[in-house]
Amino acid sequence: MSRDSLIWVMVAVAVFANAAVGIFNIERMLVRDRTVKSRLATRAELVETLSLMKDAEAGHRGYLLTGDPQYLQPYRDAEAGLPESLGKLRGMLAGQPGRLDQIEQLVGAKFVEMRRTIATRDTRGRDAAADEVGENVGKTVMDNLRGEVATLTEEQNRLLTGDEVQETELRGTALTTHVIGAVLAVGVVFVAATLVRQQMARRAAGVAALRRAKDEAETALNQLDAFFRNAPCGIAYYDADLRYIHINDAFAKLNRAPVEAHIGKSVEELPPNFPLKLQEEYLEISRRLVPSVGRRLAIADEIWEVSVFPVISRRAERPGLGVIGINVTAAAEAEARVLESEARFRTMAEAMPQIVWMTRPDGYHEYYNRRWYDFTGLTPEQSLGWGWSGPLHPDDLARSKARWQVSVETGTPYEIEYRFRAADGTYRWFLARANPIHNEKGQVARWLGTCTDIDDSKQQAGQLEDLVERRTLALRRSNEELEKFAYIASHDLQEPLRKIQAFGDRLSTRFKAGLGEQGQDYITRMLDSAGRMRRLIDDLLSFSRVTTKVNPLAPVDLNAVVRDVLSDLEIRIAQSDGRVEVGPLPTLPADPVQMRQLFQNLISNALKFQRPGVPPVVTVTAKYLRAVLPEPPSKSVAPLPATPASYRLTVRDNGIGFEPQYATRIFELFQRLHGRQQYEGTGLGLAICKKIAERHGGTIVAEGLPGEGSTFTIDLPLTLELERRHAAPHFAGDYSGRR
Amino acid sequence: MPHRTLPVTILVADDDADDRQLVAEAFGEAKIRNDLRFVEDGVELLEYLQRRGKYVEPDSSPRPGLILLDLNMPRMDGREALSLIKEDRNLRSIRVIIMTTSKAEQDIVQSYDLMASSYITKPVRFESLVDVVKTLSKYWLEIVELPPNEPDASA
Repeated sequence: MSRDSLIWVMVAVAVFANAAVGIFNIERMLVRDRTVKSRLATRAELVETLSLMKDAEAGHRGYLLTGDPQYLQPYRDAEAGLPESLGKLRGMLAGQPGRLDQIEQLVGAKFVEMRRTIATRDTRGRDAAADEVGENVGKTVMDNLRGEVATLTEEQNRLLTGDEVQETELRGTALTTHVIGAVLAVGVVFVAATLVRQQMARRAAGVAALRRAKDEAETALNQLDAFFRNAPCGIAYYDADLRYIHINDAFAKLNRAPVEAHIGKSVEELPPNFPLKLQEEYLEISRRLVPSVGRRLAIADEIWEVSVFPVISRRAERPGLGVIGINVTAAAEAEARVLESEARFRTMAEAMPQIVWMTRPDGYHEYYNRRWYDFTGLTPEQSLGWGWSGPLHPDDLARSKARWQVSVETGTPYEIEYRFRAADGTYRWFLARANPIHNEKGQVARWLGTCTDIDDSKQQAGQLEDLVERRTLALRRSNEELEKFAYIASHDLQEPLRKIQAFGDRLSTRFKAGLGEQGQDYITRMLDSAGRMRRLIDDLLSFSRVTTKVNPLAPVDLNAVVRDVLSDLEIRIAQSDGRVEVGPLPTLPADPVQMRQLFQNLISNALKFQRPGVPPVVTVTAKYLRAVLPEPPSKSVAPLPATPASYRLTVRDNGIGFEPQYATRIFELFQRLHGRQQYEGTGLGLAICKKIAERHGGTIVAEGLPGEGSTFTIDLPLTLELERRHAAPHFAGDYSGRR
Repeated sequence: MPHRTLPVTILVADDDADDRQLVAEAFGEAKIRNDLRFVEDGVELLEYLQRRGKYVEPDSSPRPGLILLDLNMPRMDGREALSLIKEDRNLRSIRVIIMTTSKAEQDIVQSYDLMASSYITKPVRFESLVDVVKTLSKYWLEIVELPPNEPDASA
């Protein structure tokens, strides 16, 4: 705009300047024109004057010569006309006073001379007149007059020439101003046209933008309207006089009238179906201009959450009123249920003889039952949060806090024994347990814990523990001595045996001929005895090693163990024409070397005690036994399953069997039911099996009837830790050895 | 039996006279004619190797290429003797084969930790002992390249 203004100002200045120059120029031309005309008239008048003088002189001369008065006529005419002509000249040369004096003088002098000579002619005749004329007075005057007129005329001519020069200048100036004027005019037109065009373009763009804005506004309005109508909550908008301006479907439905029926009606005419006095609400709201949010109102059988708020718009002087209602019946009922169950829980917790507590997911204790406050004598303020650690025994503090932290961080159950200080300053042992309670997303929502007073049983257990520990120590020491003795004895016993065998070998090979048949037999018997003793010692060594040479328990695949054993016994199985059937066996926590020894002994026993003429058939099977749950909670401090989950392994044969009364004795050291000549053996194999079963926390029993075979049953419990992993029976592979 | 330019000396350390005899007989039975010498415990073994005491004369103590070492011996047992041999820069390269009655896992692990070349349990039967001796000499004296019998460094 300012640029346009500037242009316009400059254009105006140029136009006005140009016009001023033009007007001034015209003014000058008019002046010049008048001057030229006057100069031309002056010059003509000068010629006229001179011509009149010439006429007068010619008439004068004719009269003088002829005396004919006829010739005096031109003279008289000139004499009459001259004053007029001179008058005109005087007017014309008014700017040059005195300039005509000379001419008038000369004209006067001429006429004096002519009148005198005419008078002479008339009086004295022609000759006298000629004489007078001959004095040349008249001629001199006339010559002077001529000269004077010529000078004046010349002067006028000179002035006219100067005027012409001036006219050329003026014409040039006029041309320039015209051209400039024309250029300016064209420029103005052009600029004006451009500005108009721009203006029009701008206006067109404005119109398009306006249309677009209108479209957008309409779309937004439509969307807003759709949103408003479909909202799953009741919405109504009243003006300051509480007349319905807008109402959505949900609200209209609540009022049991269509949307259209509401618009423009006041709340008196169509009161909303909320138990709310809108007039009063409005008074309060319009005064304070603060919304009232989320009041719960009962409408029929439902619970609604209603918010009322001022609607302030620029166009209205007084604020309108907005109402939004949401049906929260389901949530309200759920809350009520929670509150009720909470109340039930508290009633129960307060009545419990144990300390009961509850925490937030982050471990912050937010509830203790009465028993806690009675026992510790603390106030709720002292107890909330981490206040529970206050009365902890100093020796238990760090351990308990760390343990609790672990459970809170991992969400795993909490179990610990610690001492709390009672109100009287004494400490008592408690068993604390807590479990996480999960929300529907599986996150820990809170922890619920109990502390059970175990002080009495702890004291007893402590005494018992001391006793057990002392005895265990003594037992372990004597056991270790025994093991060491057994090991060294076996080792030192083997040395001489080895020599007996080695030199016996030398004797029987190198001196075979000298020994004779009987000598050979003695040596063979001697070597057999040595061999038996050697096996005895080996078995004794194995027996002692069951407890001295222990491997840590690791998952053992019994299928693989039995497969190895069968491969070692392959020749024996083939020789006896027997077969071993193996069902699917589990993988369980065990000492792998000992498991191998167990099956080696049991299977080789089963093959060994075969009935004469009956090919041995041995079956090896396994079965998962579920844990037997404990008795209903009693005083027991740590109720563990009465019987933990276990695997039952069975080795059954169709051999000679045994009298049932020997079922226990056969597991004792060096117990044999048969002569060595009948069935070889050291009498240690089953004792080793029993020791292995016991080392695994299990049992082994034998059942049998003579001539009907024997069954050996080993129950191996799974530790609690492993039981969790083996929640379901787990059998790996399906190996069945048939030979 | 291929003959080497310098037949390898085999030194047996065992406190048991019976075993020494059995080993000597087994070498005889196996027809191995290498120079076979005996010492009776760890102390004597070290004296021999380091040429001290009665072994000062180099002729009495040719450097062995192979040592058969029992573990359980009086005065100084085989474990200690083995560790001293392996600590001695001049003796370290001699192959030491443990030959003992012990089957204890701890002994086996410890012996290999102390850089024993092999661990053999003394066989019960004499025939087995002959087999062991044959296999040993075949492996250590024929198959394996041993370091050259370095001239005795002035220890």
